[in-house]
Amino acid sequence: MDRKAGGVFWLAVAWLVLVAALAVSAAWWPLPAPDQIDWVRLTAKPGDGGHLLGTDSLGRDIAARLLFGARVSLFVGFLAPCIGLLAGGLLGILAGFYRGTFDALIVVIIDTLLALPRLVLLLVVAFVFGSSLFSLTLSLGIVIAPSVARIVRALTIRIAEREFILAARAAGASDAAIILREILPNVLMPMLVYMLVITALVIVAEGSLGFLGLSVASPMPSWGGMIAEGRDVLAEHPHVSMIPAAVMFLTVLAVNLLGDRMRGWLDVRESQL
Amino acid sequence: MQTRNESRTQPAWAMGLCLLALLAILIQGAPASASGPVQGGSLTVGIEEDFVGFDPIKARFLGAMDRNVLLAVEERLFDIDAKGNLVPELALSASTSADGKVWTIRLREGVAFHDGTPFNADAVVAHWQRLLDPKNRYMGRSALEPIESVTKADDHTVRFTLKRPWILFKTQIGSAGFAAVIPSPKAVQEDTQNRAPVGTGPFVFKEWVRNDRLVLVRNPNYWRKGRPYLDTVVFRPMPDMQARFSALQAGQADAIVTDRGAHILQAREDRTLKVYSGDFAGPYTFLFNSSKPPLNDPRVRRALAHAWNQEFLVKADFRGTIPVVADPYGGSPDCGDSGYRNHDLAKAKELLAEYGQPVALELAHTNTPRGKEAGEIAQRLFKEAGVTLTLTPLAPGEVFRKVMNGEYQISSWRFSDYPDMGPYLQESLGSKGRVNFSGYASPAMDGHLLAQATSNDAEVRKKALCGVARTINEDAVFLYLGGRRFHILAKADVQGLSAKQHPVVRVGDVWLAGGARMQQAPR
Amino acid sequence: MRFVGGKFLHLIVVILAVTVLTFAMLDLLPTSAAYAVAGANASAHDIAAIQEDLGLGDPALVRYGKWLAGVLRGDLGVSLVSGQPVAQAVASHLPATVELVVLAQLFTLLIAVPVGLFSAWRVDSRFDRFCSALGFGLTSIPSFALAMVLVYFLALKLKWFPAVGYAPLSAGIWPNLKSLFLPAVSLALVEWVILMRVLRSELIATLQEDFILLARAKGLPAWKILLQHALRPSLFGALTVFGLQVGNLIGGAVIVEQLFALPGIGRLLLAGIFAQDFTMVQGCVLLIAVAYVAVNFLVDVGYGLLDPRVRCGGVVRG
Repeated sequence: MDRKAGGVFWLAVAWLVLVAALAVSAAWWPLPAPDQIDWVRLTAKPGDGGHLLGTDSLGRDIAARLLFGARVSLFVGFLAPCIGLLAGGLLGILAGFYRGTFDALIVVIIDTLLALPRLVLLLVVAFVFGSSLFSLTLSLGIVIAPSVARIVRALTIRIAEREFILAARAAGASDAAIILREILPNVLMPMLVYMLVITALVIVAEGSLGFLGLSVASPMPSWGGMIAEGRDVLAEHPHVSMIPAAVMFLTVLAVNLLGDRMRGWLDVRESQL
Repeated sequence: MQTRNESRTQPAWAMGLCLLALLAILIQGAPASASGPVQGGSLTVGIEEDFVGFDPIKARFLGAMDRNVLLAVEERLFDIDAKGNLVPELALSASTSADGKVWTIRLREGVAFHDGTPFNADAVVAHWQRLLDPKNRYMGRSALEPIESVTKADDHTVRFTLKRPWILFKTQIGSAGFAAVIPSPKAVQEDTQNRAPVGTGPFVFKEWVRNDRLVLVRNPNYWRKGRPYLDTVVFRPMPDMQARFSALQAGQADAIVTDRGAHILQAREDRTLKVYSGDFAGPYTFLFNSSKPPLNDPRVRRALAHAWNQEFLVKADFRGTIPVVADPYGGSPDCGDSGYRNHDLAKAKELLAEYGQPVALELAHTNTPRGKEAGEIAQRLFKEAGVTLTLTPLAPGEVFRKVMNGEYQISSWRFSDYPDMGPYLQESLGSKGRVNFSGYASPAMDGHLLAQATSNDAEVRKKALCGVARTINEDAVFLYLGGRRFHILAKADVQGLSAKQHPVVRVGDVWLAGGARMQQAPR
Repeated sequence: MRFVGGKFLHLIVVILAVTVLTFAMLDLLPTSAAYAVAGANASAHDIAAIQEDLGLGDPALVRYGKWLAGVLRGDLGVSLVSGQPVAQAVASHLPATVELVVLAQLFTLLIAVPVGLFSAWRVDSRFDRFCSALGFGLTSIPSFALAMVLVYFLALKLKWFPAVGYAPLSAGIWPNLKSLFLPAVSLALVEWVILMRVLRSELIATLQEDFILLARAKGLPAWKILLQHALRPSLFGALTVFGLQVGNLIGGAVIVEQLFALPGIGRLLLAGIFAQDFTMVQGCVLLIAVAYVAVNFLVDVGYGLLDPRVRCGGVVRG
């Protein structure tokens, strides 16, 4: 495998750092507020009337909305996998380690959550708790958790059969010690790589939810929402939809590339995931 | 004509050109249409959502799209023209007794429903008695309250007996609603009417596959000879507006219903497409809950009315393809400016300062792109006046629930459209109104509403209705989100369309220029 | 046989749990189905009457009991909104979904397997790098954006395919396939990447094993080594992914169904949730859960076919 970092890798890192920096500093740039309406310049072209990237069909500055939208994408893209990883990882390790009835129960829960249409879960959470950044992150985390649990459980079972676990047990180590010292480190590495894959998926998923109008509540902009909003002026003013689409594309691509390189370094086989 | 004019003097020549141009406008540039309607062909219409159902009691309410099918498969006793006159359809004539309490209606003879059941007085009486029977819980029954009974005089004559003279009788009988159209008594009895409607209309129902298509075929025994022109009509629900417009452009639909400004403008530029529009009553609004603070204070409502900017919404969201309105009537009656409160930030701030407390409100809106956009504009506009607005996107049923139970502050709300809005507004805005969900009540409003309800004089009623419109603006009962303009976009060779009379694609009048063009021909 | 029996019990429990969970979640929502049914001009009296008609007054547990009893008799109930039998509605939306899934996964296989084989055979070749770059690009685009682009070029500009709409099989096989081509491709263009990656990485591992080296030493042609020796033992991961994809597409391809106006299960479910048509949502969820579980069962059976040892219940794969 190619273990060199390479120019593409650094480009990807640079892009992500740039997006993250812009997201953090979004409020400090000399740009209009993301919900401020330019009453006379609707769907302005990039550069028109001081709008760096133009305006959308309600006359709002696309550059400003991109910066604030980056907050949503990065927040959800980072935290939702974390929630999924924590909840799913915990369940998976415990089930894989203890087996028996407990395991059977966890497997039923995992399979139930996997068989439940995601749409139902996402929509019900959105309806009950409103479409806030918090509820969006939480529901995406819940959607992720069962697949993580399934993989972690399989990994744990495989690891628990290894000699060093038997050795630790023979040496009188407690369950907690075995889980923390022996199993967790071995499960963690592949999972961290997997997390980058999920991050990419979650950013795209936020886009799809934005398309269905189920992403974060206004006035907070989100990339997915921006792409969807620009759809009906696509023919005459393609930039309204295409600029956020391009930014999302580059960001997800960068995350994907990062994940791929890390997988190469850690030598995690795709089939293990 | 032109050859005769060539040798004449210049003004006559110019006049000839004008005449020609006029002629061209009249026939709308389609040479084939000069030869008149052509038989045959198939028409596919892309609509916004699926149908609800076609039985007045089983369907419970008339879905926005249902009229398209209802008026193609079934017929009314009378249509009603722009001036409010009855135009015979299944009936021949209507006459009223001297005291105005009995209407006698003669029915057309020799007409049969698609299932072979003869159309006669029994069919009409069965339909009306079913709606009027309280046991059946027909949702629109309270609007028919003045009707005492419907009886058969002879095989082709029915008698409507009223509790009192009722000026809206003609409107009811000629409306495009559930009560006016006559279904086959057999289909109703066999309980198939809701999903497979049977009537006397120009088209026979063939099949309805939910979320995919509803197919009508030509009624070969239609009583109007030579009608309809089309062999087949297919309605396809396409909820995604972009998909609907793509379908029209790519040829999967011959006509679509849309309210998307960008597409309407694009279609106007496109020589292969034509746009049909008609204005109707019943605007989209932001309804205020006037029964709870802070919106029970008229100063706050007025401030929001000045902070609001209907012109901008119409420009940004609809690209100017719907009218900016100051009353709920869609042009009849025409009330002028009605004291409409224009966008005036200074005045809004002034009124809020007078109120003296910070105002934070929640807007419940339908979870659609349209609802979201209007909400975002309001959010920004109110913010500039110093009012915080939280948006809560909800499923349509949930919006209904909140509004009907008064569990809201501001909500997106569409007023129904009736040819005569008077009685409906009385129920919606009157202090004792059955569907007064805003909790608004004022003696001035009640006075105007009473005046329009008790008069038979057109001028008096117009004055009273315009008084209602003026009071709406004066007290800022709700905010207008633009008037209702119904748009059909169609291929240029689709002839005979009109969007004027009802917000409906009247497929019974449509023919295809160039005749039975192959619809599904392999490309 | 015990393996199959235990598995079967597990599946039944999962399906039951899904329906209970759905019922509980729907119960969290305010019950505004009656309002959705009644429309804007209903009175409080009308609403109460409808609530009663629809049986929404009962407590959730009673309603679930009634529903479950109905299901066991083969009756999924009627839609709260349209009054149509749920079974009939679901059945009429099934063909479009099944065809879409079959076609999408067929395209997925047609792209993923050859690319996976070739990339694994020549790791880090130009072809391998190109395909993996292409894969990264495609998985970085939301499927609706991909669908928008496909419609714009292939339907509106070139007019090769219809932009929207579903032609049922009864309209002829050719119009039917044409109407499903763009939706299936917009799904497959994302799906193949994931399948290909898994297949490629397992193949790379298999190709380093002794029996392959032996076959190479014997001078067998590349296609023979790949297809006859390497492919079968490398299919475990791909089979899992394939099963997951099929399971997710049934009822999960909502956006594509919406964009192309296909009468699929996903759209029925979405409309059901928006209208709070609980019986319809329950019917759809039941179908989706059964399909998901059945696909997983088939995948397990597939493991057994690939490797007889699984039948003894020994091998556990992610």
